[in-house]
Amino acid sequence: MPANKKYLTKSPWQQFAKISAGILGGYLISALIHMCLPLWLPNPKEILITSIFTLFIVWCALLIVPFLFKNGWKAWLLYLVIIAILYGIYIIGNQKNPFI
Amino acid sequence: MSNRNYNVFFNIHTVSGIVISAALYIIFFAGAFSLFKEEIGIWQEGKAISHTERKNIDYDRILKNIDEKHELTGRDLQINFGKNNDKIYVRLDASKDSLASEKAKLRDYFSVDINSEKTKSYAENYSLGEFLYRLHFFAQLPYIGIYLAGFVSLFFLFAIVTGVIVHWKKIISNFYSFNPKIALKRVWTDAHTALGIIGLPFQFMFAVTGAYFCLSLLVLLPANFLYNGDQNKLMEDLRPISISSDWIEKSNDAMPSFNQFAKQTAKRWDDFHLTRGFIKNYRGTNMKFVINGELKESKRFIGVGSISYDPYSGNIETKKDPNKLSYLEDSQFVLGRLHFGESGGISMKIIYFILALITCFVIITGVLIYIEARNKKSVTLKQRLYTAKVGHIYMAICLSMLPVTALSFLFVKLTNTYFNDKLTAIYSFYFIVWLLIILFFRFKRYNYYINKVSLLFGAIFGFLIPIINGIISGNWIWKTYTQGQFDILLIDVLWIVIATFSLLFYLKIKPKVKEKSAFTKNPIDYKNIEALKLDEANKLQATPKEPNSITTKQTDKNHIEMRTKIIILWLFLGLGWIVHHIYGLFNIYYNETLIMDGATGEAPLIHHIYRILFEGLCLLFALLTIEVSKQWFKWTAFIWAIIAGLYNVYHFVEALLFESSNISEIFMLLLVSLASIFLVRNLFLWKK
Repeated sequence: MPANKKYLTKSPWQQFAKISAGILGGYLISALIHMCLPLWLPNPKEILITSIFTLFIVWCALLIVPFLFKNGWKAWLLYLVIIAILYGIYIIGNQKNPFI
Repeated sequence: MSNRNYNVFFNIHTVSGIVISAALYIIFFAGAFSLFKEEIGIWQEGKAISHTERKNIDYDRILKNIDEKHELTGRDLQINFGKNNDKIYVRLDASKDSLASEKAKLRDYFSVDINSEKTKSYAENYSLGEFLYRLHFFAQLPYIGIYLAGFVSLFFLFAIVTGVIVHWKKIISNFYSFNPKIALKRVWTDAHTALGIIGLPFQFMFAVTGAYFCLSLLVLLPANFLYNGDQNKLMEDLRPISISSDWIEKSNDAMPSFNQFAKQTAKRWDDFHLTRGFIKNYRGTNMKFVINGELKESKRFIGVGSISYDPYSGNIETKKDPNKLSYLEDSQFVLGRLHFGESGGISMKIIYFILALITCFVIITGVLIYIEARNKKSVTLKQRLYTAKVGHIYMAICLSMLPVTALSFLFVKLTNTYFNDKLTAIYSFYFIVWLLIILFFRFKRYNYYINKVSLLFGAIFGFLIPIINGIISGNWIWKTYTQGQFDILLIDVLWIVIATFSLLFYLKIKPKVKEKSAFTKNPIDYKNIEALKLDEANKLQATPKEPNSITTKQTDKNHIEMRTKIIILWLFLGLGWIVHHIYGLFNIYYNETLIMDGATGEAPLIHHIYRILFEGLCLLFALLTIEVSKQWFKWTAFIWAIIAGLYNVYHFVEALLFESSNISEIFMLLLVSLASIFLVRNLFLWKK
């Protein structure tokens, strides 16, 4: 009953790409989302404290996504683009940072 | 869902589940017992406790006593009141007064008996409950244990979500088609799905809260950026209680009464129980008393209140009404309440306990499915041996926890007055016994036997627990019942129930069940294992190899021999380090004086060691690779390459953060890190 091997990635580099994209890229995206939201929405402190549960849930979802890709490096590319966009949103929002 | 996605999800569920399973089992099994951490401590002491209300404790007398011994002036104190134990726990910070003695600058943590005022250090007061509580987040592994537990928690969340995706369509049908009389694998698959789904909300909650408790650092990191690195301000917003203020000077007034403050605070709201007190800047002009408390569990799910008070003027500075919720302050308490099952008294803890053991069962069935499904004729012997070995090790680790834990309860009861340093005693006993049993089971290579023996001894030791408790401390269950010592009674009853169930399962599991296992239908003959291995090797040789596998290597113009490659990489690393050290000196041309602080004109020994470790060893391995190709050498090189690689990557990131202007050095470090990664990969391939 084990999963059918013909659908699975065999190359260790591909596996590395998918896992690292999920763990590292996933964390960065999840962290950036939780940095952008309080900057742009009302009640920043409440949103910040909510991240104690939502950070891990979002991270977990982002851990799964790279496995849907056939090519893990494309998943990394997608994640890098998202990280760049979120970072831009963070930099713009940070100009009127409500926490400082 | 497409066929591909289904198989991908199935595979990542299996792999992530197997990787974390043994660790997760330990977390849930130890965690189940740590729900009763305080009761286990009371049980181990075996003395009747008085259930004193926290507001009626004579804190002033206790503080005076501690002051004489530990010189409290200028310190911050934290007092954990506990629940209804006869002990309170005191944490002392170092004195901030510059005139304080050396002794007052030492931190300390100990328990105080509220009646006799005797103090006991952490190690003297250590109980099996504390041990199991700490085992459930691997605190016994210094530094990394808690992060390991955190990542296990995160991957548990991952396994839960992928599990739901994979099993979604079968959830309902498995519920009804559950029939233990068919093949064993079916029993386990159906039980895995059915029980997994029943426990799902509970497990999801544990995965999220567990990740938060262990990896809160990763939550604070983004928040830290938002506060622009101002950690004090962040902490003031998130955990206001942890803030301490500077020391000004010693006050000449008499020490105000903490008792009175405790009584006043407890009276302020109905059903309010004190949980924790703080005294900041003891005896200073800006001394502060803070008391936290909670409303009764049955009254409110979250009812946390606190008062902070200036004891000299008697003014209340801040207060939080427990009847009013504040999202900001209470969210973190929700996680604690959920995780530790503190909301519904003893019945809630019992439900938590059962659900935790069910989760253990789901984990075990998962492992069993994994090894059963991979023991087929069509699979090569090498792979079958590998999965069987994984199964034996996992079963040995997991199932032996029951008898070992039960035996440890007997051990602490029998030796409670014997060892002063209970911490070391419990550590050594638990881990040594566990290790021996794991080794014995692992080489027994017989899961049915492991299960039977674990259950039988779990039952025997479990029944002995209340008996030994009665003999040693006279706390027979009828006595503790009539005297109202329910904490002690609870542990005895808990073990009677666990032992009864273990015995029932032990009697229920018959050889007939074993016959359905794939390992009976398709056995591995360990006695003739060498002959079998040889047989298979011959078979493999008989089948003609791909004819061009060797020739392609020779015609490949880009091919570099493995050892040549490794030697070049080692040399590159060594040279990279030398160049890096030269670039590191670059600064002295422009902004650094030539002689460092404290330089004596003689290079310290540690610098030689450092350079030998990084430059010398790289060159040494390069040199040895030319001549040596033994397996042990490959392994040594591989391990050292990993350590050096980790250090290189760490150093690169560190340089990026702190010396971002030194571009040439950073580039060198990047090259060295890359070379390290290539090297680790090549050594990995080489040692195969």
